[in-house]
Amino acid sequence: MRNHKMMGGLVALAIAASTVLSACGGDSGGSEVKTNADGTASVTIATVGSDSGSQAFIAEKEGFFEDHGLDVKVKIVANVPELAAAVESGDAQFALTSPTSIASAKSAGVDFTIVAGGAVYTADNPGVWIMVPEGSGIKSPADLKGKTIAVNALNTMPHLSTLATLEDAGVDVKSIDVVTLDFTQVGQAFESGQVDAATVTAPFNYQIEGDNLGHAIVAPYDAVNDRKDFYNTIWFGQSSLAEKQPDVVRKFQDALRDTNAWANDPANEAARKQILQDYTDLADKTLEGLQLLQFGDDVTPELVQPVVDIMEHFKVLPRPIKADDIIADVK
Amino acid sequence: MSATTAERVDAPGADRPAPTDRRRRPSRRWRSAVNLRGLVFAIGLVLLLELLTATVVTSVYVPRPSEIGSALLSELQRGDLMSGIGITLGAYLQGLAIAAVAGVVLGAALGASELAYQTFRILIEFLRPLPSVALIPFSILLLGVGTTTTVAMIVFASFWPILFNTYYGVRAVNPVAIESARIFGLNRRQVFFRVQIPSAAVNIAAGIRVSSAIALILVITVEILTRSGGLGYYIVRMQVAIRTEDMYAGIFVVGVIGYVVALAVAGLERRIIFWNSDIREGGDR
Amino acid sequence: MRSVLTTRLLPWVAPLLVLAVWEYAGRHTTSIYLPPASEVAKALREDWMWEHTTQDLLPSLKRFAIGYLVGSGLGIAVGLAIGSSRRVAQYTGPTLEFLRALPAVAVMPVAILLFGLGDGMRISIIAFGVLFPVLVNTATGARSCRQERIDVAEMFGLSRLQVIRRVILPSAVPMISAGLRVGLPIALIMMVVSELVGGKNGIGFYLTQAQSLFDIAGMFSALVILGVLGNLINWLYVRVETKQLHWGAHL
Repeated sequence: MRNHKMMGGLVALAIAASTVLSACGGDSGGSEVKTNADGTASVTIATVGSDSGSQAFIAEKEGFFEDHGLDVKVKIVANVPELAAAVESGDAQFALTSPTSIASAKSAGVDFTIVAGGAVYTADNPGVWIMVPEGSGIKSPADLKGKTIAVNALNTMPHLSTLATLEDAGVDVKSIDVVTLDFTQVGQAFESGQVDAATVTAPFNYQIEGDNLGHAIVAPYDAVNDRKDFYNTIWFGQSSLAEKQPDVVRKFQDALRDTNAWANDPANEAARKQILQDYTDLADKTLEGLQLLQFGDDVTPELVQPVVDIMEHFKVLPRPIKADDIIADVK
Repeated sequence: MSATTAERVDAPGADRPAPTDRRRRPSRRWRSAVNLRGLVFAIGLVLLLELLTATVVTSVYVPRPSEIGSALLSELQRGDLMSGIGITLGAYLQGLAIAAVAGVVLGAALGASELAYQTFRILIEFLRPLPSVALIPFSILLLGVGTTTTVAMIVFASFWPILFNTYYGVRAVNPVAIESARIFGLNRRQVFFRVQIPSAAVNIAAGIRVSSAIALILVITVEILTRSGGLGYYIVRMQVAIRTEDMYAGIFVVGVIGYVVALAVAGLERRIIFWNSDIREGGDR
Repeated sequence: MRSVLTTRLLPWVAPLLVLAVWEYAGRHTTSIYLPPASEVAKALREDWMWEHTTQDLLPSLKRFAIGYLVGSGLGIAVGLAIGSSRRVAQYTGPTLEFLRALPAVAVMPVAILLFGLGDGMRISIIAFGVLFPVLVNTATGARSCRQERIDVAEMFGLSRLQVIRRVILPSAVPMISAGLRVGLPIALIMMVVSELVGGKNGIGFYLTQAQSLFDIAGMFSALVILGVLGNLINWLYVRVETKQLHWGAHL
């Protein structure tokens, strides 16, 4: 009997140990891309369910991936951390995110690299606004001294660019009370007078204006690079993939280049909104007023460095990095 | 509301669930009356909300119940909501089933062997209170984004009540019953499977009931947080798409599913208790 | 001697083994997602002694405590009402069963509407999560009180409220206590959930911050804190429960 019990304990211990070991074993996260029998490469990409993530939707619908020999599966993922985890674990080969998260990753020792361009900020299409509730006395960033401002997440571009805007207006950023609030809840917070201002991306600004709850006072991204262009979102993957299989990266870049040409063409605006609606279920009313983002092809250090600079200015990065270090060299 | 949520039916001093057994029969007879009065109350509440949202609470973020109702009808026809329900229920049942099997097997093993129990005691005590939502980022790394992570989180959260109920159930078996079974010539293993496990069935059922409620909350929460498939994703997608009525229609469906699940689990438990008392009576004879 | 070995020493073998394997694997992996245990210990020392303990842990604990108390207080009150009156049970049953299944994240918009963006909203979410297990258990416990005892009490001229307080409540105590116990881990989950979505402090908030900065050791340290916290709360509860049950038995 004693023996029997002993065995049971040992077996259970062995099972537990092997579980722990196997859990630790999944670390390499190698995301090698296999080539199918018909010569296409199977790739999974992760993106967000909004206009900034719509390159993937367009390319899938319009067949640009197939044109370039890619068999792509598109996954919609919640937030930056999930996107990063999906790529790190090999669940997805490429994902869309903000350059800030790649800079944070590089600085923390994660080997991610930018493989293609996403949405570009341009002065006439900023995509992000600081908004204040209707009827508030706040007219300009200078009035925000000592106020409560909502941003969607700390240390991301909406947050840092808002701080930069305030600094330019001569406001001490330490006097500001920053709270995090999902974009979807800003309208409600305005309605009930919970915050004095909020940094909001499209399409939520249209909703808030449409419901007469608030209006934009300034585009915070104007303060990032003196109103010159920079990348708002980019596509990234593991550095090892870019080194070992540059052909896959090149195919992906070519497919996106076709996508961008199609998407940036004003003639396709209606079709593009239709695709966006198919993937995100945006209401007709919201889509109507939506200013669609412009996408960029080539990722140059000049278009990424402003983001790194603003992160360093507000001391977000534990270790300084250069834009050059986070852009894949596959040319 | 005949469903209960006790982690341990055999609370200190209480004899096996005699009170619940005795009370259950009359409560069944009320059932038709319960539904009618409950319906009246629910309808009254909805009408009150309709009135409030039409007059006092005029936020654009609080749709009126009638708007939610019509949104629900049109969404149900569109199919998106339906497929969401399917995915959610699939993950829910899968997670609960895995948790039930693993919880019962491990709980029984720990209950059977003091050595095994002592070996894992501290590990279990440490892991048990970890909120599963805090594990989501780790789960995504290991299992990727998608149903696997959702199921894993459900399993982690709903595993513990079942494990502990099984453990306590196996442990709490009347020593006299074990002794007499041994006198009748059953060996240890036979005693375990024929006496201890069957009499733990009530406890196991109670554990599964607790877990069935936790698992439902978890499946929606994880789907909302990770935006992977199912009703939770539907709700968050509608929220992001600024379609508030449709979002509340999705939330309403979650409530309905919870109601149905609670009824189903209560019914299932009645059968298990019935079956169990059958066995016990057979044993006594 | 043998039993002392099994109960005192054996339980520590597996945790130490896990720590050792973790340390070894952490040192020999290339993935930054598995920092060795010593790195996590360093994060624990640097972050949680005591900067984030005051900044994040204490606010979390405060909301947890208030939310748990409010939720269980409401649960016991409503549960007693339902359990001691068939009519109340019949009217409210289906509606409560429906509300019970709603996940707190889904009711967040309503909570914001009612309680704003601050602590009130987060506390209400914790309370919402705790309310139902306590309520359902209290109702069941109250219903299990023998009718004869209630009849006798009424014969002696006790009012409805007195009957509930003196007769029904004491006999419901074991079930209430079981419900309060189920509520603990749920409250802990809700505490984290309420901090993951928006906010400016709390353990859940720390976790998301660490995650977005790829501070994996920090993430693990938050998990360790949560595990320790869960055990402390459980231990505290068992102590209070033993005392209160004792009190209940004498009532």
